[in-house]
Amino acid sequence: MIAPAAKNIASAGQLDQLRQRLRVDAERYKVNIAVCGGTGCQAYDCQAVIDAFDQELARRDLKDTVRLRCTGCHGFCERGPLAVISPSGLFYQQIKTEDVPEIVDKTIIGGEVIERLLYREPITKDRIREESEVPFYKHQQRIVFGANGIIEPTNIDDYIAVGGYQALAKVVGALSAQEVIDIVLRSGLRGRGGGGFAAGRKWEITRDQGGDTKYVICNADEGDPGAYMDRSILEGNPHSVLEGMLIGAYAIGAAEGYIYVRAEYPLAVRNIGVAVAQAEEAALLGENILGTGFNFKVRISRGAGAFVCGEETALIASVEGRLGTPSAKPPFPAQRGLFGMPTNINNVETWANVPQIISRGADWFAGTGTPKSKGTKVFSLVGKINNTGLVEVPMGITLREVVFDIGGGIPKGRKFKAVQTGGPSGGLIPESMLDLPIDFDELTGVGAMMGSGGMIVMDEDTCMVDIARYFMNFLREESCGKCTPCREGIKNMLHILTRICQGAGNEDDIGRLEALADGIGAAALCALGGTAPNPVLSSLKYFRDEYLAHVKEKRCPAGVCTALITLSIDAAKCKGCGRCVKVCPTDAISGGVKKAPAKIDQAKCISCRACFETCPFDAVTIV
Amino acid sequence: MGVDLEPVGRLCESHVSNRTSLVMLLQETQDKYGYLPREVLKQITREIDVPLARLYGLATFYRSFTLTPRGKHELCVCTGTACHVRGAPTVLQHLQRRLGVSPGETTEDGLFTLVTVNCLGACALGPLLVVDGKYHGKITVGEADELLSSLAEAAQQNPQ
Amino acid sequence: MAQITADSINITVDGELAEAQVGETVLTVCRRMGKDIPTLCHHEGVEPYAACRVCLVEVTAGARQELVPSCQYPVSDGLVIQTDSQAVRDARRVVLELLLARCPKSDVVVDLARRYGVTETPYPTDDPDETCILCGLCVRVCEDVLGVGAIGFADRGIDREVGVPFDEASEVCIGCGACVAVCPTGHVCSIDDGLVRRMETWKTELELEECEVCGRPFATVKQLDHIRGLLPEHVPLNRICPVCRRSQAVQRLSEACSIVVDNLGATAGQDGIENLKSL
Ligand SMILES: Cc1cc2nc3c(=O)[nH]c(=O)nc-3n(C[C@H](O)[C@H](O)[C@H](O)COP(=O)(O)O)c2cc1C
Ligand code: SF4
Ligand code: SF4
Ligand code: FES
Ligand code: FES
Repeated sequence: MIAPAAKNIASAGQLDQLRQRLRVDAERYKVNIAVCGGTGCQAYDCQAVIDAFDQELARRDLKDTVRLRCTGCHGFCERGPLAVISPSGLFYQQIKTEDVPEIVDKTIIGGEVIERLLYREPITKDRIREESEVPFYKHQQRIVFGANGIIEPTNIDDYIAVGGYQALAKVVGALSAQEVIDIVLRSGLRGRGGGGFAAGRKWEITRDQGGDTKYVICNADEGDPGAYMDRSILEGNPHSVLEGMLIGAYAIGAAEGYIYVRAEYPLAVRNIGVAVAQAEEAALLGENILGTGFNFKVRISRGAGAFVCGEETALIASVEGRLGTPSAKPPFPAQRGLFGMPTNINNVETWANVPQIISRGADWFAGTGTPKSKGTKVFSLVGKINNTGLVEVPMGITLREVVFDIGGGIPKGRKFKAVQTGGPSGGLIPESMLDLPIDFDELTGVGAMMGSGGMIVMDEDTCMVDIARYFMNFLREESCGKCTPCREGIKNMLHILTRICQGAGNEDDIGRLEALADGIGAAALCALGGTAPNPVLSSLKYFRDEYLAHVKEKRCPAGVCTALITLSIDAAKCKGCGRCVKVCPTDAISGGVKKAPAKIDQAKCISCRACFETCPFDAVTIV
Repeated sequence: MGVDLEPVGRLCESHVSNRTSLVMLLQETQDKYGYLPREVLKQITREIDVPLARLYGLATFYRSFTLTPRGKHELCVCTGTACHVRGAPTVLQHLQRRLGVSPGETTEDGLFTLVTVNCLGACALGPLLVVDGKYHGKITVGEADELLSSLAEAAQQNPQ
Repeated sequence: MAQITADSINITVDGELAEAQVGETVLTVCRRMGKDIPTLCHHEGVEPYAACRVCLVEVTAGARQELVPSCQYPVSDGLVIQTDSQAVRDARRVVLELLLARCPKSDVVVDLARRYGVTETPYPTDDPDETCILCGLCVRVCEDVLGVGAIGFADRGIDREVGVPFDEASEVCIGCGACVAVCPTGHVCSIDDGLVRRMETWKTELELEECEVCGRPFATVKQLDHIRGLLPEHVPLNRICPVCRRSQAVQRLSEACSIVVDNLGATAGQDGIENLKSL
């Protein structure tokens, strides 16, 4: 890693000089290799690929002309490890360490393209050369994620070179607090953490409170299971979040900020820590920032494993070192927050949008999106989808475009069933609503929710009752237990749903679920309980048939609920590989050799589905 | 039970001088000991003026804290939504059956601790099994079995 | 009645206009008006917690209507409140059904539920002997009011409980019994047995001290030490039970009276003194 040149920047002029110098320095490199080092790619062992590049470049004495970067998440996690080779912008995917010498040889030195490593469009089978041409990226609009694939998150110079901290310089040098708030108000930026509250308005309220001590907080708790956009921003472009917080702090009148980051994200914790340290070294955090007399420092607070701590009052309690139980609002954090002082909390993505809005202007930002939801939104597109990954799309795009054009549809030719947005607070959206534009109010209108941006795609093999049960189980484990309706009510909803999944439910159970859902929604203390019934209510609304099949016919149409299914092996499809025989925990499968197809002994089968998940030939069938 | 209480003083000192929160103090304590031993919590109440009930409340509220030592190997099954729809329950149930423990528990021989996590942000690889910090994506019951067997075997050969 | 001051505001409760002070809670104002609002986790001496949710009322702010906990919700000018709307009754009923399933033997819960027409609950009971509704009053009075912190919450969600850490006798409990006094359901109990006070719920036993005057055991040694620690050094702590203290106080009062009377004697004349003494 190259040590940053950014040290003790004393004025906007010095920042600008540094940026120009870094640009000139960068011209020295003829080729730039950006290998994705996000958590997804790390799981594919991208570190080995990076090390291989490093060794290979050293061996060939290319380190002065070729710059190797380990960047943050590019988004296309499905295809990792990934690398982009500039200036041509060549996009290689699923790279193995063995490929590296060849890449250096042929592509970097020889300028050739290695066809095998290019992304292949699954339908047309065309090989695609550039990242931006891959359909997954083509329909995206990357404001927040723009720099993720270019810069090295652990080197502040990279961020400065692409114009980083220029927005801060503009704000502290030339704008009043009110002017900053006006810009953010005019941009129409709404909070990306779920609620969609107007960011500028919240800043204004916090600013208008009395007292000298105020705080800003970045909510990076991201507990929504299946959502990881905040993680990728913190990992891949931490300085954009810091710059956003600096600008917010200036507008609000805060001299101290906290970043509350989820403990399950070790790389994000590390990278934001490095970023804070480097920003301090560069004097972009601390006292008298850019010589303007503005002071701001940031502390990092690691979460300790509690979903409810994403809720702002619980988050504050946790930062203060107390139990993460929410408290009733009002008072809102803007009025009485951290250590009893006015506190402005925004989500990671909200903060990361701010420098862009300042640099490019409110009108530019408001030019994207719908009348009431401006800009872009990052979603984590996961589940039963071909192109899993992070997508940043303009508000107003339809769900269909996201799922099919960007996501490439459902794997294995299965049929789309639903998409779940908003995590445990959100809802299930059926096929008939796929043309819905993505917008805070539209999604809320159909009983779902933008949430923080999880978008989980489900196909015909996903049971909606099981999904509702899954979320209730999640919430049962994550409820803080403070208030009666959430603590006791969720437990009972889970109880009923489990009964239904086990085939022991009756029709009254559905009415009972609805009554409980209404009661919990109305009476719970915080939004965890308040929105907890959403997955149940929306699945009941759009997939009632499936509930009825479970309670009346004792049947799970999706073939998921183990108590209601029978597994058998289609002898015609079985190739006798014997894999199912090996995985069966109760030795219920016999045969499974070339001559004798596998066969399940129903008396021994516990319907665990292990054979179904394992069979490479789809020979196991479920009824 | 011989738990070395020596480091507690330093941990508490840095907590006081850096004005960190109690949650952070417990995190650092757990980083040091691997878990939160009872004697250590009691020692903390003696070093800094905070009731044991507060520490115990925090240690049992937040899931990343544990009051008992972990096994030699940690098997962590992601039960986030993306992994769930891709078959994580089958893997988890299988591991539970095979090890005879529920999530959060350690096998009697102290070899394996089974835990679950709600999304590690590597949903593209779901279902995900993390063994001692190493990610195993798109895991199947068969592969999980093999991993387990090779760890158990290694432990037998090298009982340290 | 509330004093009308600069901080007075107007609110509407069940269609009736009412005067309130900035900083008051909806509950305070409603109770002053004689409204019947049930509470379980609320206690005058402890900060509001808003956890049990039986005190919910409906407020209208602009076009939005929502249920809020009256015990904690601050009044604001023009606030419109309904204490007994359909939504309020429905929500209370669900909460009470849930509490009844949790604590089927708690008289307080049973009686309150009956008042809302809930005599049975559709939900199963895990532990038929459970009487703790997790209102947290015991924990809050011990930590926030007394500054002792002998007991606390453990775990979370449906597994949440109140108790002593590690479920073993507390080293810091002073046995003052404040938790017993605030517990709405009688879950917390203590028994005095000779020179020992047993805080049954907290698995802790404490030594009692005998009254310097009558010799009856009346308070725990630790409790008196705790009070000693709170008093300024020059103020003496008499280890005297409340009964004796009361009779001592009466005696002191009459002594004080006679001093007054004696001083008055100079001016009021003998008759007047006799009159006063006979009072
Ligand atoms: C149970 C629960 C969990 C939440 N989790 C998160 C989270 O992980 N990240 C987040 O930014 N906001 C989360 N929120 C929303 C926050 O309370 C808060 O509204 C948000 O951080 C405000 O930032 P924004 O205005 O920029 O969206 C959560 C809310 C609830 C009720
Ligand atoms: S709604 Fe749930 S999470 Fe929120 S305060 Fe109540 S118990 Fe806690
Ligand atoms: S023991 Fe009593 S006071 Fe304490 S939480 Fe339970 S019901 Fe409330
Ligand atoms: S759901 Fe398993 S990694 Fe996200
Ligand atoms: S008395 Fe108000 S919520 Fe319990």
